[in-house]
Amino acid sequence: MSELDRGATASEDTDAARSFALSEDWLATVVGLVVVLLALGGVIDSSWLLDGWLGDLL
Amino acid sequence: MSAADTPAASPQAERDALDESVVEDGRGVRSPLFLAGLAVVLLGALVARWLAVEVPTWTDGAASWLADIGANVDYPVYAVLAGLLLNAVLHGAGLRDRLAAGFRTEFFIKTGLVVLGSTVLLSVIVDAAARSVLQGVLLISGVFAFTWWFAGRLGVDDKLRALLATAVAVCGVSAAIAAAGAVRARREQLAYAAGLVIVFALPSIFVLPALADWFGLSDAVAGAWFGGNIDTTAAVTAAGAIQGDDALQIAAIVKGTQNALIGFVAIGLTAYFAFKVDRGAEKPRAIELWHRFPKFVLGFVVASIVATLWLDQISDAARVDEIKNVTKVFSTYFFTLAFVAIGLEFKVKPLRDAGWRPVAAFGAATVFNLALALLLASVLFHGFELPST
Repeated sequence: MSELDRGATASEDTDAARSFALSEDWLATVVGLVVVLLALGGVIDSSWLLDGWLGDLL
Repeated sequence: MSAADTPAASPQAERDALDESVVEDGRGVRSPLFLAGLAVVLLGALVARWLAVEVPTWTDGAASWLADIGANVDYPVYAVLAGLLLNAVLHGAGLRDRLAAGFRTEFFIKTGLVVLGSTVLLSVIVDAAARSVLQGVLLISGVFAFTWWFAGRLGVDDKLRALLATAVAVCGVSAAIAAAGAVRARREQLAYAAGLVIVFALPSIFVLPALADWFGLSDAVAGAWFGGNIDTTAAVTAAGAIQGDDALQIAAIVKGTQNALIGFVAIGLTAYFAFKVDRGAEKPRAIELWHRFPKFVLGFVVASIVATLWLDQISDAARVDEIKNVTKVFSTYFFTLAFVAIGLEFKVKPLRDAGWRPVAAFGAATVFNLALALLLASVLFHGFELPST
């Protein structure tokens, strides 16, 4: 394999890493906003915390 | 020269030197070991929380210096130490790299920051925005220029020094990934840059809050200093959390601003390499500004806007306190997971593999970044007051 070919293959790898980072960024944003909305709406309350049922479960 | 800065290293040597676990491309997430890695992070977080609750009671009544330590050591310290301990155990068992797909530091920290956004008043973001943008532009320009120049003087390969300069000047691993795409870097160069970021960021979690106290910095200046000079967002958040809630808010805003500027750096790099270095490469497009914009920064601002407007409509103060407490605790949960994960990701292998030139360039850039960020934060955030909530 030539140096040029190896470079192209590696760039595809870094593109895959970049693409994955971008999708993970979106996922974190959506999950974070859902948690905020559930807390504001009262769906998640202090009973969910580790000193509530979550703590008992764990 | 090392494998990192030797363009003609053999394919086998490159494969031998390559440490892929630091740079995730998503393939590992499809592995069953992903869930096992996540379980390890969760275990570390539970141990950290248990220690944060129990240690103060164990040391209460002990010698005064021991009681002080027990009372003042915060959860980020226990979380990072739990991650490092699990790291050593898994490394000894030969499992660390196989489980690395579950060590999702970036996901946990970004989710936690979006949730944290709901606890930051919109007025604080507005007040701090202009200072943050100015600090970000000056700091990124200065640190990038210094690192590019110094690494060039040491003879580091152009693509690797672009990655190092972007990582140290902007926002660590995610910036290195963006730069790697812009300059068409090789995967092992990305792995080295990302590894160096974590090796240098981890000690700063502990050292910078101590220095901030020693310098007598206000919470706002300390937060702006952490946000400006610590490379990874997770380490910035950990240092801010150790310093206190006010410092954490400013650190998050400043770091978020720097993250948001990565698009401009990536486009500049793409243009430079396309027109100067690799003339056949793809030319930059304006849409890249949006593609590379960190969406979690938008989430942080949206969460602040929604929470500020929503809580304004509630007249029951106890209900407001309950909501704020829940969101704060949930952001703390995500941060704890992230801090454990960054401890799990730590490894000294990149230092050995990269050779002395990239390490020296990165070390010098880190010291330059520390000094310039301290100067800018002290000037721009002098007298900045956060409202009591």
